[in-house]
This record gives sequence, structure tokens and C-alpha cells, in this order.
Amino acid sequence: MKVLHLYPNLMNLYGERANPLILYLYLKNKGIQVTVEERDFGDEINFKTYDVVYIGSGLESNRKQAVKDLFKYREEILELIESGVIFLATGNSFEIFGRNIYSEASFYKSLGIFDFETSEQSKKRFAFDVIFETEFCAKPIIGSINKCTEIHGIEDHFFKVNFGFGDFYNSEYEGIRKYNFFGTHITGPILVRNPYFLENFLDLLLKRVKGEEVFNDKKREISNTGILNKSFETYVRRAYELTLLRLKTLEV
Amino acid sequence: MKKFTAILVCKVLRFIGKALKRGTSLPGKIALKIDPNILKKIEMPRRILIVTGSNGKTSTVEMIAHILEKNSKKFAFNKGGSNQIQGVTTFILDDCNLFGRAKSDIFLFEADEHFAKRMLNFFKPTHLLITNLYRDQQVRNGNPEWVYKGIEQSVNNTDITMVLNANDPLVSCFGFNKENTVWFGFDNMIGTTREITSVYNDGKFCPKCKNFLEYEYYHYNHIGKFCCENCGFKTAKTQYTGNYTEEEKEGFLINNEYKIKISFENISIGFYYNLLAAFAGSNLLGIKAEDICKSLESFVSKIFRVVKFDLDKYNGVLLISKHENSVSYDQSIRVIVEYNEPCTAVIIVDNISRKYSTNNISWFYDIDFEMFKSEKVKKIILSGFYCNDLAVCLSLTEIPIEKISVFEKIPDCIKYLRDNTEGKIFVITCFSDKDKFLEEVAVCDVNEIDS
Ligand SMILES: [Zn+2]
Repeated sequence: MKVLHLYPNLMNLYGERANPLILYLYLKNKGIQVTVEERDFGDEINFKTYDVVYIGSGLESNRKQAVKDLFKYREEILELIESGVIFLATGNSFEIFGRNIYSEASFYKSLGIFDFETSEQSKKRFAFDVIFETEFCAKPIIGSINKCTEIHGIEDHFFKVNFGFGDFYNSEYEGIRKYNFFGTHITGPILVRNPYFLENFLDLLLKRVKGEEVFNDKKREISNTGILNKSFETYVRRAYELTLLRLKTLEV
Repeated sequence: MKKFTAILVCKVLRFIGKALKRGTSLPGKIALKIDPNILKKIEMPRRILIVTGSNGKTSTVEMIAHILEKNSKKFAFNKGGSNQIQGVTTFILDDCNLFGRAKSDIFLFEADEHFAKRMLNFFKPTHLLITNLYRDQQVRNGNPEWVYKGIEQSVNNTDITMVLNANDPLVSCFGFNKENTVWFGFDNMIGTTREITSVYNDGKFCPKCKNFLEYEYYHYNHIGKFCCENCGFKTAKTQYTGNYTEEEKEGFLINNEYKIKISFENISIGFYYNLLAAFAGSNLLGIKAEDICKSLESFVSKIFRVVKFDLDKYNGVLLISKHENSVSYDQSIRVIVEYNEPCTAVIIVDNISRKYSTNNISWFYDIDFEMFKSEKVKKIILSGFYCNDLAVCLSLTEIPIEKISVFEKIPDCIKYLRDNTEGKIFVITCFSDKDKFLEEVAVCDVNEIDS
């Protein structure tokens, strides 16, 4: 299995290296041969060779660089996404896959894989915690957002907002999920903080690659060696429950 | 006339406020209501220095104030750094006579990055010193570039003398190809590396043109000597140059001439920069280099970020670090690892921010916890509300899991330490969480640093 970590330096702001790392560790622990390849600005990228692509958030100026760098791969990326290859784009990186990015003074064309549009401003930054819900996972998703943009025109919503707000102020929906593309403005180690979401994400990945579900609860075995031991599972779940509970008390 | 009224009202309210031990923001607030442009009408002192940046501003400003005091300068200083324009207005008007002329010869301000840009809209200092710009407090600051842009708009096209850290790429942008810039930085520093050692590299790309930035060396994190071959952006030639070498371990040299003695233990690297910045700042405010050195020798910081304590038979040191600030954590961890004797490390994250409601723990993953692999670090204790998140984060490193213990309640952590400590105890936590630990142990003198 091959994981592409796209722009680990260019698009790197909020500890998001944890996302490809946890994918790697879980898969390895399940005895699956897995490699994570890092491709940064200017590197040659052969998109067709990957089973899953991860890209995290970056400075607004770096996101612009990423668009510039990715343009030559536009058709390839489009084909990949339409064929169901799994993409996870967090923070402002998912705006790269929309149509245009407007700022106060100008705009630039983005990849245009999806139809939504992004508008950016330099006056106010929104940084807040969220609880989101999705059909993809029975348990709510927790996370933090840090953005200066609004997104309009998404039809295939990823999340329904439970706490916080979505694509734009007062929006009830957040992110995009189409084919197997998952885009959300949640920044940081989303896969680590949301163990139940991670399970389903891995299930999807393995179903696609190996044609089987390895991670559903019944078949799950927890080894006592390596990082993924019983205490790790306890920490992950406890951290999730505590934060969810705290956010829910804020909600009221 | 408005000016006169505003000053008078402010002074009267301040007088009453002092008697009633009230805060400082109300008088300034009323004065600004009477005359919103009041600060532009004041005859300011000849020299005004604002110190801002992510880390080290408080230490730097405290040191400069100490130096000014030792050298009998007439100056006013917003101790504690009020981050409200009302408070600053009260402060300034309080120092003025009724005709709006400042009595002090120097104004010294500490302002956080967010507030600095606001302050610059009300009045211009003669000097703006920026220590560094790091990833820090997402809710307040967004990201380093966002902070940079905010300040940049306010200093652009002014004649403010910028006093800048030449080893920080983003800070250096303020002075690239600009007159009126004074640079400080270190040429040599103990522990400098060729490759970056931190888990992320905010110096990977040139902040000017986005091409790759080349580094000759890194002093720590992305602080070092850099150069962009594409646009020529690089570490500037410094007017205040520090040299800290193995041969001169008990202190460092500035401009190969002035020796700054360091007699404290457990100092983080950032502190050397604070000393250098304080040297530059006070020199620019008119203090002679020799006199600065002499004054610094008697410097006893009330805000020094190390607290010694005893827990039963064990000695401990609490390193006050900044939550949400991975550079600060990296430096504290480095102090522990460089201690190089058996020790027990404790990390407490109970409340992430004093000012904001936030549960964002992404900054854990920007910290170089791998350093704890060191065999000298016998145990790692994680405590506070976010101890489970910390445990998850540390589990993803190569630190042997047996070293780690987790206690949600801080008293439970202390109970465990009483029976299980190995070597010296080092605690990393921030201002807002430190008392939850310190109230359970015997605190030795906080200001135990001899002059
Ligand atoms: Zn450049």
C-alpha cells in the first residue's frame, strides 16, 4: 500500500504530520506492507501509483504555491478522484481542489476539480473548536478550525455542523465528500483525535485495496506490542470522550 | 481644548482609581472618548521603544527596564504589558503634564504581536524591536504569516527604526532592503547544527519569493543563517552580534568585545537571544555598552522562568513554558535533556489558554518529544486534562512506552512522584497551570539567582 503525503513542508502548519503517521502505524501494525512517500514543492509526482493521498493546511501564500505546482497534474488528479482513490485534504488545502480563490484585491484559478469557490479576506481570522456529524461515522467528529476564508457552492457536504460553524459564517454544513475525496477545514491531527472515524477510514482504504474489511470492531485485535497496545487505545478513546464532553458543555 | 480636557479627566480618574485600587483601563477609555486622536497630539519623549514577538518579549523588556533604571534614566514602562489601548492611553497621559508633554525621556512598551499592530495605529514609536515570530496561540494569532502581515501594514512607509532578529526569516522580512533597520543575531552558538532538528521547518521556503531557503546552520528550530539563491533574501549583517562558544561557556560575547556573564542554571537558548535583544534595545536608547554589561550583572529577574521546589527528598525545577508554542516546549525539553543526569520529566497541560476557550492540541505534534528518548530521562509523567492527548502524541514517537505514566488529576501525579521519582524532577507547564502543581510542593526561592 502506498500513501502519498503531499507537500509535507509547503503545506504544514498544525501538527498534521500526525495524520499520515497514524495511517502508517496502524497499517504496519496490521501486517500490511505500507510506505508513505513525501513529495514536496517541485518534486516529480506520479499520482497513479498511490492508494491514498493526504494533504494538510499551510500558510495562505503556500497554498497558492501548491496550486501553481499542481496545475500540471490537474487531469491526472481529476481522473484519480473520479476513479475513487482516497483523498484526505485538511485545513485550507481542500480549497485547492475548488474553482477559484478570491482575495480582496484579486483572484486566482484553482484546480477546479469541484465547483465550489473560496473567498479570502485579511481582516479577521476565525479559530474555533467544532463538533461535526457525518454519515460516514456513527460518532461525532471533534476538531479545531483556523481560517480566513469562506467557501460557497458545495453540494456534496461532508459534515453537518453540531457546534461551531461550517463553510461560511452560519453555514450548517462543512467540507466536501464526493467519490472518496474527503475535504474539511478541520486542521491538525484529525485522524488521531477521532479514533472511530479513523477506523472507518481504514476500512474504506482496505476494502478498496485488498477487498476486505480488516478494521471493523469484531475482527479487531489489539496487539500488546508496538505503539498500538491496549493503553494506547485507552488514551485515544479517553482523550476523544473528554474533549467531546467538554465541547458539548460549551454548546449549551 | 479637547486635548486638555482629555488629559485632565484621565488624570483625575487615574488619581481616584489609584486610591480605590482600580484597573488602569477606564481613565484611558474616557480620554479616548473625549478625543480619539489624543495620543497623536501628545508631545512624546524623544525615544519610544516597543518590544514585540512570540517569545521572550517580557524577559527582554524587563531587562531593558532594569538597565535603564540602573543608569538613572527617566523612563516609563508598561510593566506587565497591558494589551489594551485604553490601558496604554492611561499610561501615557499619566506621564504627561497638563499641556500634553511627556515627563519621561523614554517610553518602553511590551506588546503582544496582535496588540502591537493596533498600538501602531494610535502612535508611532521611534524603535520597534521584534524578537521572533513563531507558531503560537492559534486563536489569537492565526499563523505566523498572518501576524507578519498585520504588523507589516502598520510599519510600512513609516520612519520607525526596526530592531530585528536577523536569524529569524519571517522577522527579517520587515527589514529586507530597507533603511532604518538594526539587526541582532548570533554567529556562533553552542549546539548549532547543519540540519534542522525540530519536527517541522518554518524556514523551508523563502518568505519573500517561496523558493527553497538554504541554511548554513541552525541555532535552534528554524533560527539560523539562511540565504535564498533566487531573490537574495538572507540573514542580514548584524550590528549586534553574539558569539557563544565552548571556550567562553560562562557567558557570551557581543561584538567580540562585551561580555555578558550568565550565572543562572537551566537557561533555555531563547534566553540568550533575549539578552542580546536587551543589549541592542538599551544601547539604542542611549546606554553605553560598558554600562549595559555592568547593569546586566546585577539583573535578578522577577519573571525568570525557572522555579525550584522540593518534593520530599527530591529536588525539582519547574520550567515555565508556553502552551500552544512548540518552540518554547522544544527549548524546555532541551534543558532537561542537556542536564544529562538521571531525571524524571513531568508535563502538565490542564488548561490550554488563559484568555481563550480552546481545545486545540495540534501543537503537541509540532513539539520534538523524540528528545525524551535520552536514557537519562528515566520517567515521563503526563498530567492534567489533556494528559491522554499527550500520551497519544508521545506514543507515536520512539520513546519506550514503559517510561510513560498518565494522571488526569495533578494531585495523583504528585502522589506518584513521591514514591516513584528517579533523579531530579523537571516539570514543564505554563503560567496558567503552574500553581496547580506548585501549591502541592515546597517552593524554594523563585528569585534564587545570585547577582
Ligand atoms: Zn527568495
